[in-house]
Amino acid sequence: MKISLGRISLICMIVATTLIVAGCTGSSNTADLHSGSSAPADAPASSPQDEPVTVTFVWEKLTDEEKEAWNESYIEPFQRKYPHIHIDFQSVPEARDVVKVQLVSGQGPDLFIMANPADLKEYADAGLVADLDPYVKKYGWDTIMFSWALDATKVNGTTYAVPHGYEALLLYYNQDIMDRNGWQAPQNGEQWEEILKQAQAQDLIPIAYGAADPAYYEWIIGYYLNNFAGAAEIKKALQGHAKLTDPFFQGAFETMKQHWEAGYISDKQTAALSSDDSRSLFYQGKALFTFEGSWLAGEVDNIPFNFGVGSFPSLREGVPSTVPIGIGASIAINKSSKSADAAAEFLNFIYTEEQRIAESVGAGLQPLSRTVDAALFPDTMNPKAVNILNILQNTVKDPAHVGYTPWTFFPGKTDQYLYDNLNSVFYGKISVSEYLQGAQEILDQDLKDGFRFILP
Amino acid sequence: MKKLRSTLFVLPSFALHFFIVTLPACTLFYYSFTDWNGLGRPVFNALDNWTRMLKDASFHQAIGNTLVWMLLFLTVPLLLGLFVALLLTQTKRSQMAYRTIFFMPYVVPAVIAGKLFLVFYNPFLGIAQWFDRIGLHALGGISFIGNEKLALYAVAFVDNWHWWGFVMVLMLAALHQVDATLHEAAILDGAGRIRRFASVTIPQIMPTIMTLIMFTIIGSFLTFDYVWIMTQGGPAGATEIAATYIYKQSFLKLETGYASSLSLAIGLSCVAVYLALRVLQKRGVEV
Repeated sequence: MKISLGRISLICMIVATTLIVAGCTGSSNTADLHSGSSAPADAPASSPQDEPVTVTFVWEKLTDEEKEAWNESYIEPFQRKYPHIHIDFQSVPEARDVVKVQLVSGQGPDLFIMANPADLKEYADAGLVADLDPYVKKYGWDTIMFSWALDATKVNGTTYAVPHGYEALLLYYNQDIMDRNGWQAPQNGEQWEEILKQAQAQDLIPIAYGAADPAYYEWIIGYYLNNFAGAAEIKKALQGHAKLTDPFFQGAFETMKQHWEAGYISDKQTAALSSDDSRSLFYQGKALFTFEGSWLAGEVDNIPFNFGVGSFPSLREGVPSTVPIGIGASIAINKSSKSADAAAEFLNFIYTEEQRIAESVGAGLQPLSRTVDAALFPDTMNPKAVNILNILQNTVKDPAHVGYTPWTFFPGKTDQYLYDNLNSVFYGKISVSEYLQGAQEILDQDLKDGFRFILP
Repeated sequence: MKKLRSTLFVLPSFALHFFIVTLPACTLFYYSFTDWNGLGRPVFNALDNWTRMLKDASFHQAIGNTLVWMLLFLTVPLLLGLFVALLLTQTKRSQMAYRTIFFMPYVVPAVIAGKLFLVFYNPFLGIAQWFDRIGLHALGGISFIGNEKLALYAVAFVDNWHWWGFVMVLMLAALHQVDATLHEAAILDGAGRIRRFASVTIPQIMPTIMTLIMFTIIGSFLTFDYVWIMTQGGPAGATEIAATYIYKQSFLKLETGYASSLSLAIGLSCVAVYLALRVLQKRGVEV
């Protein structure tokens, strides 16, 4: 039989079309790629699976060093202990958006990072994340993890994620400049303003702080709200017993605005600087203070001078100097995952061995939301990094000085409104009153939608 | 049989386009009438999104900025591209070298160009400090991105820097197509340089100009990369344009239903502009 070139081309075109249509409509075979299936995973199996299973685990974009630390600290030791469970660890840029689309289409990884715990309610309401309460009970996570951190991953009393690293907002300063000028770390608002003024007079940037991405304004909001309004007032407002328009909150933002307008905060250039830019200015010795968090523990080797670290000063009489704490991220299990038990086994593994967690922190990873004996940190760790971690651990034990980071404890939409519109306050487009009025309206809606503030 | 075969050859690309572009685009009509966070079930909310759009001051600001952006791109790169292309038609030996140099920014990825210019614009480490060092103290304190009155122009400058070389190459190609005999006839009729440029060159390159105008208008509504990389729409909405605003609504605020209605409104506006330009173009050709 003679087959013409035209007929062969025709057949190829039909095959190509069929393949494209099959690819676009999404066959069940794609589940192999994503380890997802339609089987619900509400009730975990009681015994570990012995047959080979793959757990896909999506994390945000990591550096090569961080990836190596993850592999050496958690992935490889786990796979040695559980050879039948393969962890497919993927570091994905824009992981939040990528995973969101996958989940909605019934696919997605088994385990994934929830960068902002405040988003958890949306995912839980949409039925995209698995109920982890059976695992909490099975593994006793409530006795291992900080209760406040585990509570932050609950929606209406049900656990939908486990907290990952915990962190605190701290104030870093150039100790060499402080010593040269005989300055002391400020303890209250007056001392704070005085030292900022003196630093400015010496042509220093009093505070290096960049928020080109407005989400970084969560830090400054955390400092000023907790140290002016106070943690107790924040709690009342988020529970609906006080208003964000009350004088304490008004005062916190007015003070912040005054400091910004005076040029203390990056010479009014916060919108023009990224977080990396502000860090760079601090490292170059051009700034006296910088707003950063306990996450800087992994960076201390890059700071070429003596630096000090502590809590933000109290800005109002009667309000103690407060360190806002929170969780950096949480990890959820895909409700469609058919490897949910293995995924939970992995979560349990990374949380249960104190020595391994201490070593992972030594390798540059964030401390997990549980107590770790400081003596277990590797001897090779920079003592300054250990000091930061000790401040973090001690803060958690001292409820009188613990505050709330917006990204962990504020409802998502309220948090977003606050940081998204802060530039409008700084640039005089809206007054502090209007800004807070808007925030209160969003919070009222969040409370109406079922936001419940849980904190000890 | 021949007709069927040619149809089947088009089918793969049509299927690809249909499932990846057309079908999702059609769902936009439905989602624009829903309250949907992009995760759960969309809830029909009739015209709520559309009435909200009319009252949304931030969206209006974004549209205003998009129009300013469009005006900038309808003037600066087109005039600059045409002017430089006219100059280059006078050069013979070095024309290719100039074309290559001017075109080069176009091949620089937006993310690299954006990040690079952010370094130049850094108020503490960038060109403002350089101005200060050479004694231009008035410019030493300039903040390109931190000043809400300058920020949009500062970002647009970078995109212009990237775009105008491409415009110049298109203009140059169009100028090369102009029939030389028309110029000779105009010279015999006593037309000067300006008259020849207005009455011969411009009408001859009008299809290219109209195509560039169409690209620019539609492209202005789609512009996203430079603004997102450099300012994310800030400070205080000063550089917020339609695409960044819609992205924020959908992906950051999880208001996908509302974002769908905004996208649809923008999309329909683009279609209207396209049709209007087609009509104008046809009339121009007839004239």
